[in-house]
Amino acid sequence: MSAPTPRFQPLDWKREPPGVLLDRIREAGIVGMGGAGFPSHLKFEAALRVENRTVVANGVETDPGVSADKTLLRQKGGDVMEGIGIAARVLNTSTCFLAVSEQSIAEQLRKGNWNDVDIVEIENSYQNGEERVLIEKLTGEQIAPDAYPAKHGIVVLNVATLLAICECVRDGSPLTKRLATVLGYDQWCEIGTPVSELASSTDELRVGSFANGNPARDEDTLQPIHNAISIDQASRAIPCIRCGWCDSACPKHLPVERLLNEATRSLSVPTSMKHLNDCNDCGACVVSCPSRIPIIDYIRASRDRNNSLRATEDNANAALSRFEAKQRRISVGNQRTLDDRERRMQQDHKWQ
Amino acid sequence: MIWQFTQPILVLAACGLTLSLLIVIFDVLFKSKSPKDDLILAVNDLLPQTQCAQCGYPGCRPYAEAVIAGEHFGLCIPGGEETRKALASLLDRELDGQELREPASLLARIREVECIGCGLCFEACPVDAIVGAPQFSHTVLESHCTGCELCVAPCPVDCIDLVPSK
Repeated sequence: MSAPTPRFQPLDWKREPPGVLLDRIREAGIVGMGGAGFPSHLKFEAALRVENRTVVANGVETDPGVSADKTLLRQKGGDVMEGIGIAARVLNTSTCFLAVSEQSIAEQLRKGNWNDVDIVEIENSYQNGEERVLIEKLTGEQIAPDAYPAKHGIVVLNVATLLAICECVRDGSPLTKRLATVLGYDQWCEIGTPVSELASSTDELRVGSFANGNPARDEDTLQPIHNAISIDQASRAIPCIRCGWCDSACPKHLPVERLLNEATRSLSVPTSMKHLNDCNDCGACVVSCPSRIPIIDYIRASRDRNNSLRATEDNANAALSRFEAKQRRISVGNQRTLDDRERRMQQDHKWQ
Repeated sequence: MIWQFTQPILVLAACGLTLSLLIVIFDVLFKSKSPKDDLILAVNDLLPQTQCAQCGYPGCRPYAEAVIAGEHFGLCIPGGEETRKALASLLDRELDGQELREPASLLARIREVECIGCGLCFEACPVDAIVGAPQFSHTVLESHCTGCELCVAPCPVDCIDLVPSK
């Protein structure tokens, strides 16, 4: 595989002003490669509006059966560190964290003499990869579930995103491939390759990890946000035994078992709507489930159905209120016309 | 000795009297004006509120009133099978095999180059989904349109299409 031709002018990031670096990140269209696909330059811009800025590199990869980020840190740890340096320069800060979930990686990176980055080992537990949980572990700051960490000056970036930032700034090369765990093996995949090209299996596939990925469709291609292609466990699911492990696994403490059982019976319970919208699709419940039920699929379907039901209801109510307003308007108008006529009839007309 | 038996009976009777008095007071205070109105509201809640008048009545509420007065409950086209079933169970009437047009999710769209700005569709629209000034091109607000088709007939230049909505 030949190196992609530079699309941008390579920059010496230690000398260029931070604004130029940020413009480059925006031009290159870097998005979060941890799974959400949030445009990275927006995070930087939001964080630049507040004092006390922090860079957090998220190398805590806890998706079961996925090891792409760990391999990435082993292969290109130095480039990731440069990416952290670029992010720190853009934000004009010296507070940088790199959170990793394996001791060997931390030790390997500490040898690299990157003094300005604090390399922290985080326990390999599923919730710890979530940015709010990670921030609390690193800085002790608690971010509300509906607030964006970037607005508090904390920019959390996946290590793959930092590698992409480093490459687009230092080498001027656009993002054309990413490291993904394809059926258990980490390999560099060209972005846009059809999933059926990358992996062939008699089982159903899932784009993303088996916990929170989506079932692969024929037209799916590998995108920057996909860190894995895995085997779908859904076909091996057995009925729910109501053990309640999903309830205790949920990092947001939602009543997952109840939501699942409502979803399987196609119930829409008004009180569950908030829970469904609060769920951030992390997939911890799927990991915990001893019956291998793809709980997240049910939750997503249930959420979509509830939201569309609610939208229909809201539309009907809005149409009704507009209808009533029009009726009122017409009757007021008619009454006014009649009143005017009455008044004119009673006027003393001068020409008479 | 007798007091021992009568005391609980008296206490319970007093409780019963107080509670029944409370029930009577609340019943008088919060009584709906007529049970018929409640029924009309219940029927109206089940209707889809498109105000399309395809049932032959000028809106959902008038149709609800007609249903209570004895009209057939299965005339609502946008509501479809679901509304018919819900109404049948609410009113305890029999579903008959009356065939209605399939409900389609439609949106009106004005071909704006052909519009002469007469404003007739504006007046016909029951839910204020059409905007425009006299002698200028009118347009349909897609988020407000219920696809009721009431604007199609009044248009003198036939410039309103119904397109399937997503």
